[in-house]
This record gives sequence, structure tokens and C-alpha cells, in this order.
Amino acid sequence: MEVLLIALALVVLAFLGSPIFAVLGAIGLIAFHSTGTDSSAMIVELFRIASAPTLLAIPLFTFAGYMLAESRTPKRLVALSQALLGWIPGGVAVVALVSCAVFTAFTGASGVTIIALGGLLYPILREQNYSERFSLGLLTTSGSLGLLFPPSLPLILYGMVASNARSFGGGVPDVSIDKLFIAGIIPGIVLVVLLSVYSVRKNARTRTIPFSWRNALRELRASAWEVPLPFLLLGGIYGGYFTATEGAAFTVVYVLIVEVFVYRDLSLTRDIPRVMMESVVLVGAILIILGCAMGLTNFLIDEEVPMRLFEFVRSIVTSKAVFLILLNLFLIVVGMMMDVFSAIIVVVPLIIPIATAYGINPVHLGIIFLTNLEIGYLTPPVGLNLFISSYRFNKTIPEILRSVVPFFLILLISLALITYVPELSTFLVDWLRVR
Amino acid sequence: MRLLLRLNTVLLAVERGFLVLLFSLMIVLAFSQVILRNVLSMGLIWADPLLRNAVLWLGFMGASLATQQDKHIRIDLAGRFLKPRATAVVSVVTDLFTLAVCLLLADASRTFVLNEIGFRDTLVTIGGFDVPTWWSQLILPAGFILISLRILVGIIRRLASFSGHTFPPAGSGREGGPA
Repeated sequence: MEVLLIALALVVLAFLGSPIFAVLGAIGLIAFHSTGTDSSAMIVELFRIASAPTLLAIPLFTFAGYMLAESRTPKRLVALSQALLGWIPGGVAVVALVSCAVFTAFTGASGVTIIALGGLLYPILREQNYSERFSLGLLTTSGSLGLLFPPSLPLILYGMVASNARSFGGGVPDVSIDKLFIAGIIPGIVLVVLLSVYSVRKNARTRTIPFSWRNALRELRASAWEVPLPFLLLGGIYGGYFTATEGAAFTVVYVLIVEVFVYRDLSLTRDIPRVMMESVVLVGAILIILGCAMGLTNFLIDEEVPMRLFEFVRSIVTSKAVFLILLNLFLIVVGMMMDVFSAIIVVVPLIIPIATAYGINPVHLGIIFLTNLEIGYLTPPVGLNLFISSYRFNKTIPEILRSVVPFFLILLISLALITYVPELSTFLVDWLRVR
Repeated sequence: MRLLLRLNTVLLAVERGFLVLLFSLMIVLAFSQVILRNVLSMGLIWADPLLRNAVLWLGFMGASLATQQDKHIRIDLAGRFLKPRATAVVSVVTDLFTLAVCLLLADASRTFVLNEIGFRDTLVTIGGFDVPTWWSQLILPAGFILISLRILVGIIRRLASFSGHTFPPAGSGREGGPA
């Protein structure tokens, strides 16, 4: 009874808008208190995040992403994709999808994409006669597209949390960042391609931008310093020149030099400290959640909660296929309520042992997980992208809702593909023998 | 009360300067490691653990700034549907809850660090000097206390605005305040 009341109070506090770290911290404190353990045991666990090998990648990639967002990279990216893809009927929609996906891979999904790119792309779409409803739906959807591409922050965080859950045993196979970076590529392309096919079919009669070599070369030259970055980063990691974390250090220095000294988009003294502070605030918001969840996760695993949860689920669900359906429904709801970072931190440690017991590869699970969270951003009534879009484009929520319906359905189809064809996620990893 | 707000403003300026310096040093050190390893096939043994601990410092100070700027991650259901006035009342409740949790965690961290001082563990050895692990761990109680201070300041401001009184917005987010 008492436990129920406390749980209810915490749920209410969470829904009223208490910071997630405080809710997790409170649960941890109560849990440790209930077993008579001193609360400092929770801090022992919290301090363990300082021994996670990939921890450093988080602030570095965040800072690199924020610098890109604050520079004129979005403009150049859009201009380049327009020059290369604008000639396809419906091509401007494809431009939007591709540039948003690339951009989100570097900034992590936090609404930055809709704010930074939405404002650039919306007028272009409307100018080329794309309907208002289509344009809104497209841009709202594109806001979280790209989560699956390296070096997205959610992929890194999933790798960290999964490796930590793995250290408690339970036969969970290895989930390295190197594997995750590769695993997301094909599923990410599937999402972009399916959305592109729909967009092209739907807009076959809109205006196109004639292709010209001159134009394409000019835009290529304009972004000559930015285009190589993904290739250098991935080439460096998989060519064995650096680890993912070292790749993050390389990316920061590369972006800093390019944006400050080559393009002069950002000033070293005026902009860089400000952008640094902005990224530090996001890093702090994520890390304190991670820290407060560590104690709780440890407690739950000590109490064998994932195992008991598994026994319970297994008594109802016998087949892997049905389990996957339920998992997807559950994760979409999680993705609708929580941002992608806290969702990973809170849910992954509980789900990984269960999914492993059902024979799901944790790398594949990660991709399923992130695809669901991506969809959760669009799920009515409370998906975050709906609100960001409504705010950015000055439209009512019902207008935005109507506009995303077809895109939402396509994402569900992609999700089914990604879930039930594990090879989409694992093929490249096995083929390239990534360890 | 004014003293508290003053203290907060001064701390903010110090923290910002410190963070920019710390983050810059981290980037330089992390990048040097990449160069050293690939070009000279060597590395600094102490760099990796030091950098990871620096991330913890960055994170906790960042979290206290996130408190100041109201940028913590939350499940913001109520905020999307409640009226501004109701939201403000709800905020005071959730702030008090967060404050209580942070103070308890600060106390837990204090116990933790006191225990660790007894263990005499070494974090890294730089040029013959052993850096004790607890030096790095100090950020835990300090961080939770800083966050608590920021929440307290937030509550004072909110209550003051209820009664029609407003404090100057020193250091409120990126606009205003010392950079």
C-alpha cells in the first residue's frame, strides 16, 4: 500500500514536469533506504560513469554538432542537396529528407533540426508548389530522421548503457559503438528511401530545378570542407586510425578549424564560448540523468527485476514475433512521453536482458529501439516534434497532426521491416567483420 | 536573500569561465592523444582517466547551469496543457521536490567522499605525482549543492513574481548576465 502511494506520487511528480534526474534520484534513494543500504552506495554507482570508456565522446560530439548548427552549414547543405537532387520530380522533398537526416546524425535529435533546417526548407518547398500540408508533414517527420546514422548521440548513449547493463552478466553479447555505427546505416537508408518514394510519387507534378554541372560543382566547392567530414570520421574509425571517442576529438577540431578559420562562420572569441556553454548544458542534463539512473539500475539488477519481468512476460508471450510487436508498442509510447536520451537510460537496462532471452541481438535491439523513439517523436497526442513544429511554423496542433499521418504510416512500415528483418541491421556489421 | 542572488551571479561568472577553460583543455588533450598515437605511436597513460573525470566535472557544472536556465529534461505533459498561472504553481511544487532530492544526494555524496578519502586511492599519476581519486569526486557533493542553490534561487524568483516583485534578471540564461 505504502509502496503504491509513493509510486503514484512519483508518477504524478514526473508528469507535472519534475526533472527526470530528480525522479530517478528519488526512486534510487527510496529503494536503497528500503533495503537498509546507506544512500552513499548510490553515489558509488553514480561515480562509475567516470569509468565508461566512451564517456568523452558525448561532450565532444555534442559540441561539434552545436557548432555545425550555429554555422552556415545548414544553408550550404541544403544548397548542395538541391543542386544534386533538385532535378528529380518531387526532388525538393528528397532534398529535405536527405539534408535533415545528415544534419540530425551530427546534432542528435533534440528539435534542433526542425528549428535550424525547417525554416530554410519550408519556403523552398512552398515555392516549388508543394502543398502546405505535405511540407509541414515532411519537415515535422524529418526532424528526427537521421538518428540511426553515425555519429548520432543516441547511438553512442545506447552503446554505453547497453555495455553497462552487460557488465552485470546475463549473457548479453557485446554492443560496441563501432558495431552500432555500422548497424544503423542500412535501416537509416530504408527510412529515407521509403519516405522519398512516397514524396516523389505524391509530388510528381511539382516544379523541378534543372540540373546543371556548373551549379553542382559550385555548391560542391562551397561545401568542399564539410562533405569529407563523415567519410574522414568513418574511414578513420574503421580504418583503425582511431576509436569512436578519438574520432569525436578529431571531429571537434576539424569542425572548429573549418567553421572558425576557413568559412569564418563563427568567431573564436564571440561565438565559440557561447556554443560551448550551450553544449555543456545539454551534456549536463544528460549526464545527471545517467548518473542518477546508475544507482537505480544497479539496485534493480541486484533485486533481479529484469529476470522477474522476463518470467512474467514469458508466462504471457511465448513467441519472439509477438514479443517484438509488444516491444514496439511499448517503445512508441515511451518515445512519445520521453525524450530519446532519458528513454535510453531508463528503459534499455530493463529491456536488454529480456530481449536477449528472446534471442534478439542487442545491436539489432538498439536499432529497433531508436527507430521506435524516432516514431515516438511524431506520435499524438504528445510527441515532441509535433509541438516544436507547431511552434516553428506557427500552425495549430491539429493541422500538424493531419499533416504527419501519411508519413507516420510509412515510418510504421519501415519499423516493421527493421524489426522483422534483423539482417538489415546485422548484415553490414557481419560483412565488414566489425568487432 | 539578495546576498544569495548575488552569490549566485558571482558563481555563474566563475563557473562559465572555468567551463570554457576546462572544455578547451579537454579538447586539446584528447586531440593530442590522437596525434601522439598515430604519428609517434605513443600516448599519455594518465590522459584517458583524467579526461573521463573531467567529463564528470563538465557534466555536473553543466547540470547546474541547466537548472539555472530551466533546461533540464522532463516529461513535459502538464506544461503543454496547463495555463501559465497554474504552470507557475506546479513549478514551485516540482522545484521543492527536486531541491529535497538534491540535498539528500548532496549528503550522500558527502558520505561517499569522506569514505573515499579513507581509501587513499590514486586516480592518475602525472610526472611522479599521485592525484588522489577523491579530488575528482569532490565535484559530486559540490555539484549537487550548486544545483540546490540554483533551484532555491529559482523558487525565490518565482515566489517574488507571484507577489509582483521582480529581481533583476542577473545571469538568467544566455541573455544578460556575465558571459
